[in-house]
Amino acid sequence: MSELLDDPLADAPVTGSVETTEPGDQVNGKPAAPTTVPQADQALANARIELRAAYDRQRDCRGRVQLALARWMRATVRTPTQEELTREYLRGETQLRADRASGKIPPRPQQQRRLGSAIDSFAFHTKNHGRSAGGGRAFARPLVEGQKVFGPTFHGRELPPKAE
Amino acid sequence: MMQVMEMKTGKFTPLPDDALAALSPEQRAAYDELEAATTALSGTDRDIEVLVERSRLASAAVTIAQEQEAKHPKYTPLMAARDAIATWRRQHP
Repeated sequence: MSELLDDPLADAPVTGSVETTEPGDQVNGKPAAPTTVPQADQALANARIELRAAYDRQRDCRGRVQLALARWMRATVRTPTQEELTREYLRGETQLRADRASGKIPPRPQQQRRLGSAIDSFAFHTKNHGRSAGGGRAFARPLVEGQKVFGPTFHGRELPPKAE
Repeated sequence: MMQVMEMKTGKFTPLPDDALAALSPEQRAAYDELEAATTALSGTDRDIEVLVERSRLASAAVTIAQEQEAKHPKYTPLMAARDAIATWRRQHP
C-alpha cells in the first residue's frame, strides 16, 4: 500500500512550475482545493471559525428550545389545588405506613435514647472515669508546669513533680 | 400535559390536528414557538455535521500540502536571496 502512495516524482528534480490555485479559483463549479501550505492553513482556520460560529448558533438555539419548552409546560400543566395537594400527601403517607407495616420498606432505624439534660449527659459519659466526651473539660489541654493549682486537680491527678 | 418532546433525546413529536384544534391561543403560541425552536436546533445540528467534516478535510489538506511542499520545495524568497548573493559574488570576485 505504501508503495502505491509514494510519489514517483518525489526524488525527481522540479523542472517546471508547480500548478497552484488561488483562493478564489473554481474547479468544476466548486472551490479549488488549496495547493500551498499557507492556503491550506487559511482554509483550515476559516473552517474552524465557521464551526465555532455554528456551535454558538447551536447553543443559542438550545437556549431558545429550553425557553419554549418552559413556556409550553406553563401553558399546559394544570396547577393542583390545595385540597388536591393535601389529599395526595395523605395518600402518600398512608401508603408509606402500609408498606412499612407489610415489610415492603424496611422499618426506620431506632434512634438512640436521648439523655435528658447536660448534667445527665455528663454523668453518663463520666461514669467510671473523669475524662470523656460527655462534657466538662474532657478535651481541655492538660495542666502545664507552672500553672497554679490549689490542691488536687479536677481530674484527680497531681501535677508532675518539679525538676530539682 | 401533552407530550410533545422526549426529554432524553429532545425529539419533537408534532401533535395531531384534533389535539392542535383543542389548544387554547396561549398553548398554541407556545406550541408554535417550541416547534420553530426545535426545527432551528435540528438545522444547526446538520450544519455542524457538515462543518466538522469540512474541518477534517481542511486539516487533511494541510497535511497533504506540507508533504507536497517537502517533496517539491518551491523557490522561496530566501532561496532567491541566496541566488542573488551568489550571483553578485561571482560578478565581484
